[in-house]
Amino acid sequence: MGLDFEATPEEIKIFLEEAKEQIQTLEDGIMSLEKEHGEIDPESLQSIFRAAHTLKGSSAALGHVNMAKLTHEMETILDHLRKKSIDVTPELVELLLDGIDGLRIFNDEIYQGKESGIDVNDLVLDLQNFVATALDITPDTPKKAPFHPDQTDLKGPLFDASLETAALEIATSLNQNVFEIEVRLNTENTLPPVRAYQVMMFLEDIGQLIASEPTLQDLEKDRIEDTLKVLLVTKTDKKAVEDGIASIPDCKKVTLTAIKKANKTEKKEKIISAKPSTDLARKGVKAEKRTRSSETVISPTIRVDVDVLDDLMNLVGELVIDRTRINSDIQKLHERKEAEEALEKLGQTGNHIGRVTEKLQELIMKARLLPLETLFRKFPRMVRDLALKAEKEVQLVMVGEDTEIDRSVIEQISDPLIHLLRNAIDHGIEKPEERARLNKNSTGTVCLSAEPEENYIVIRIKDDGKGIDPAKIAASAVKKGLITPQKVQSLSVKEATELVFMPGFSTAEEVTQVSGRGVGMDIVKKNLENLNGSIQVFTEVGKGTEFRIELPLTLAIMRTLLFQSTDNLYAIPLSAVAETNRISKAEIKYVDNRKAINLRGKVLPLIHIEELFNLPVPQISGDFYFVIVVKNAKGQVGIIVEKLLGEEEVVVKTLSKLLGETRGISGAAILGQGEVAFILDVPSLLAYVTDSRLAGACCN
Amino acid sequence: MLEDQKKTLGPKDHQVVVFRLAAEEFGTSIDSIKEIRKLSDLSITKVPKTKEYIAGVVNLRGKIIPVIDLRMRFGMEKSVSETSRIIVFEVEDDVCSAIVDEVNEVIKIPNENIETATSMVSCINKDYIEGIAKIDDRLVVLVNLQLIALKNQANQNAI
Repeated sequence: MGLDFEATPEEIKIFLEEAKEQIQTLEDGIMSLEKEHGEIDPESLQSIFRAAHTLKGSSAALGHVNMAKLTHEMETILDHLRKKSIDVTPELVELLLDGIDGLRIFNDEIYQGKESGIDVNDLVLDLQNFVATALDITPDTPKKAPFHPDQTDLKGPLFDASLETAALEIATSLNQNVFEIEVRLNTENTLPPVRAYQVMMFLEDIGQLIASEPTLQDLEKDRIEDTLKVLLVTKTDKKAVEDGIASIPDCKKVTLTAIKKANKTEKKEKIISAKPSTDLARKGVKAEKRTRSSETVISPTIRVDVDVLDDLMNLVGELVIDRTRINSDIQKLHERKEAEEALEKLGQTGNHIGRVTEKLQELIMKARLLPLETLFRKFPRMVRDLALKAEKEVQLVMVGEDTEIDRSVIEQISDPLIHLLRNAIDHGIEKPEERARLNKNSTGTVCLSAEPEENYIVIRIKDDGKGIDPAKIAASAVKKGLITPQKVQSLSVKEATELVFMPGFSTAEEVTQVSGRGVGMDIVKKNLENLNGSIQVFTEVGKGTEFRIELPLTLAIMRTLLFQSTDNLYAIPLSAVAETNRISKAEIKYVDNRKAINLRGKVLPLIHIEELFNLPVPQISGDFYFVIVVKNAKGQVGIIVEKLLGEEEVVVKTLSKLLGETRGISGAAILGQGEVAFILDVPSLLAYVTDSRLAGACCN
Repeated sequence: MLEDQKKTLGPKDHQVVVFRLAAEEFGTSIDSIKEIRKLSDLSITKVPKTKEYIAGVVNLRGKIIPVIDLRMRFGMEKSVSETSRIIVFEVEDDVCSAIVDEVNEVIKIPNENIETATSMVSCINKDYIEGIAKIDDRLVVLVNLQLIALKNQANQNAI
């Protein structure tokens, strides 16, 4: 079933973003309630309560009845907690967390514009029953008024308190006013519906209709008495609204009442007790221009469309190119003497542009950065649930959540991190009894940390569990036919441990556990490598395991090594380069008819870049080859190229899908003279190299 | 996706860019065409491991776009000359381009002058042909460049 809201896409977007934050606040709060067994400071409790309250208001305003119902019940419970009239119990925490899950589903519903078909009533009942039961034990607390669970049409016969609250929430967030408007129409005229319609249209123009009686639908069916009531959020002031309505013919009497936050509570009770109160013309309340409350915290940040940032990035990219171009022109001019003075100036300009672009580049990169917290904050709940399911006691310690990283990186490391955390809990941490037997703290610790290191962000996931036994890993790999028993013999401990990253290593049961994701350690590794990152594992049997992930700060600008071969320009990410070397042709040996050299006691297979791309191999004159030694999962390979051009920072551009598959190339860069260089994707490039060729590198 | 692109021609006159490949005249709707450039003004960089009819990519004001060699795409012999042009066109939310031997003119073709393609017209796969336009004694084969470009992405192996 489709969901339709009377809100613009922009408003829905804002709602979704805010709702997401509030749900997160709720979840964090409830988890800390559980951890502290209810001993939480009143201020934090207040902020959780407020999040539920705000969410109730805004969801009601949007018209998501189920979401409003659910938040109402959660708010009721939080209110009792706040007043200490009920206690925190595991059952309560579970219920509230179920509520959070429900809210997330509703949020997705709104995002996708269709209903999930989830029935909220059971959960609402459970929550209500819980309160009822809990309150019977402590009967001196007054019961809170029910939220009219039967009321499905939010545009009902009266402006329910929740609607007023909602209107106020919206108005506060937009810094606008709320008016209750009553218009008496001249019924002698034959057209009251038309006039009423005109009034509504006018109001819709100047603000946001939260509710009306009769509704627009009623009006379309000519259903109207002589009075029209509207709840309006607008930035227009009282006078202008009044004048506007008055200018429409046949409006006999217009009454405007400004609603303010201050008297909200009082009014709420009044309306609920008085039921269908038609007395909307509240006496003597002056319209105040701004209804603001101390609760509103105006964030010092603004939301920027990602597209805008991307465009800026492209522009800066072009500036960077211009800078290089000017510099190279200057270089050329330098060879002629006569233009000395002009040259000087050009040089200064070049320098200036250089400084400006550098700053711009830095700023825009910063604008794209997000704290890792946006990703990390969903982990405590996940770890809690996983630990519960695995019957283990696990505490998650997070360090460095404020470390910032490019937003596109954040999106893409979510699944790998989830997988690693899952592994730490499922396979790393032992059961409490087992840990006690081993003289370990019965509660296992998983530490997730992030810190910047030069141009990289290092993320570590460390557990104090049983560690990975290389012998078991090796045996398992042999059993699965991933490696021959002979080869296993020659592996170092580290190499044996790293077998966990081999495709096909994850067993079938593990795959079902991460149901739907289809993630194994090999995929984790591949995803991180696609981001130009890397992963390493350190482990000690009985002590624990640490995964160390290195990620680049940004994907948009990359430090590369440029080289040329057969008229083509290539850029290879510096992160993939181990070293560059000039190798004498005389040193080259042939193993199975293929080139290799002995580099510091190790056999290094050599391959022409052209071979990797099935291009004709050029004749390279001279006695030497230029070789770029690249790191690869299986070892090191030397790539023979015609000419090394040096290091350069390039702006990464993706290649159009219309080119078809371009394996081995992850993107392109535009160089100073407008030439296109292809950025090599080392892992997929070397996937072409047959295993037998690389095996030599690994086992020698 | 491919089906969407293959819309039948509308009821009105068609503005068509007429270009030449070898001795044949082709046309394509002007709507999606962004610009037409001299081949000699742009430098094409070959992309390793792509189909042979992909001439490469060009840097068009900071954007890297693919270039299809239409002659090769249609199974003709590769050949460039002074008159060769690159037609830059939009494909969904992407941009692509194609090399042709010459761009002759932009003409209006009334609907009634367009016939559906029969199997015997051209060496080109019938899927890409939207119709045959008759202008006096000339025959212009109307092709859908978008479909041709999208085919690279959808199934590289099919020609």
